[in-house]
Amino acid sequence: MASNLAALQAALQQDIISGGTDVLPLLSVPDNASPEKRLFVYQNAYVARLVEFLCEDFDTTWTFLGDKLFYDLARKYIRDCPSHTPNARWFSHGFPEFLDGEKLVREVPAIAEIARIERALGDAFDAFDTVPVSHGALADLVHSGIEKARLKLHPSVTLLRLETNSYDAFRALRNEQDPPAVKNEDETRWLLVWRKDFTCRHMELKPEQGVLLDLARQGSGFEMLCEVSATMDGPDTAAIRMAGYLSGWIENELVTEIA
Amino acid sequence: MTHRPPFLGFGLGLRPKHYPEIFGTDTDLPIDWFEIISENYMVEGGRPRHMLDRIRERYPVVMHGVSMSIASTTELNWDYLKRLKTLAEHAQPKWISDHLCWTGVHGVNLHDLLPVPYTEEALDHISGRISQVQDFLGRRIAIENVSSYIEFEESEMSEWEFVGELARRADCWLLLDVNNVFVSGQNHQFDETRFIEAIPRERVVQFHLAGHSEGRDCLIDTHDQPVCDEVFELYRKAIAHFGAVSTMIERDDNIPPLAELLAELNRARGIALDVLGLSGQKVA
Repeated sequence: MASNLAALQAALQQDIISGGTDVLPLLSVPDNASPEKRLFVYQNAYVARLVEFLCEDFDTTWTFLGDKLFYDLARKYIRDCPSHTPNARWFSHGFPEFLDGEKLVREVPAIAEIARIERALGDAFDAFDTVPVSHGALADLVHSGIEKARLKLHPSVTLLRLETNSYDAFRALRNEQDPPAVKNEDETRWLLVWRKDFTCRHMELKPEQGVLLDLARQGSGFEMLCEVSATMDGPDTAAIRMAGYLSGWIENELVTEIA
Repeated sequence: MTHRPPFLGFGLGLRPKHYPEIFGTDTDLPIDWFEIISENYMVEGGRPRHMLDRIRERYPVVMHGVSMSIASTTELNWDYLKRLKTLAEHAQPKWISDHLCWTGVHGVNLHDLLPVPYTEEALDHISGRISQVQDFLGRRIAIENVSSYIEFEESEMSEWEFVGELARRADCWLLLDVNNVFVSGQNHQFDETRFIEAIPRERVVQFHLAGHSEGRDCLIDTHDQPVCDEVFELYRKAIAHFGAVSTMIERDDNIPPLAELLAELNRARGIALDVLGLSGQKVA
């Protein structure tokens, strides 16, 4: 049995995680107290605290699933994916991928999509601060040649491709309304999540704009974006549409560099 | 030992729920300083860092962490410590504190403040790690006593002997959590006053006051209740023993409006002024 600090810590941690009682002979409590109950304080607090982290970070997913289902999934996540980070902020980050592997969630993919929307909002909340470009920077670039220009997007930007109407359900739940019945969509829906003025925002994009912003995020130049735009809608107005999108992205402080 | 950090007066733990009340008035609130939870601001940017900067414009700040895991037998987390140091360079806290505990081993983090056995082995181990951290940060840190629900058969000394000796060996400051002394005293049936009076005066730079709850078999350090009368009475004894020490109310759950915490803080201020014979004077 454990006889030094390292062994003692390993034994106590093992029992806290597993709910075991092997460490009891090493514990000391007053005569009128129960070592089992005292150990249970730590065992119970461990699960309760991590479930609370998940509830805070995925409160809409929690509302969507209801208490029992969410708590069951949360406890399974805690068991399968114990925290390895000193900052609780990051413990829940893998929850959407965990949900992907759950049978129930595979049958209802909107669940993991709602979780991804919430994670994107959490990521946007404390993403790195950078200064967005102004319309003036765009005007300068028009004069010096915009064709090869590439964009750098704000670190808070996440683009989500949604295959279900999860965004409709997400918005309804956030507004404390009944969500619509979830269903698969015929066409991919694009959701933009980002931060502006220290406020996290979300907005659905039309497919063309979603594709173009995604290409811009990956480093495609303005000329390429116009070419792709021309294949998606009227080629004669592609450059004008692209300029309109770019203006909107700058207005919404999505762009931090044009070069 | 280099000079003690300054006496800051009476402060509160900074909680986002109170931002509107703190920034929504031009009137000076009766708060002398704020303690931030370090990990909440060890992020890249956004509102947390922005609000920290706004607070720093108006109030002294101290940093209080929950994840240093100074007593763990796993290697120190240098990535964490680098981020802590970066935050400290930005926030310029009056001091940095964390807990006399471990949060996990073998790469796992239980996000709890787990107790240690009071042994020579633990003293050597923990004091060495505190020295490593202090060398890395280039400053002394303050170590806080935790609430506990279990002790260990192999302990060779009392908690107060352990804490005092640790501070001497590591040459660190102490953050004395008066509520934790009370909770552990009740749970382990020791004399809380004896604990207080055994702690070396020159090491204590901060007091925490907080609330707790009654569990099925013991008191639980929940920080979701007002400070109880017994803890205020113990605080009175602590002030009598240590003199003027920067004091704050720590509330982490079931957080009330700011006015309720200010009332508790005012009670602490009144006790300190009374014990120090300074009633009617401003201490901060």
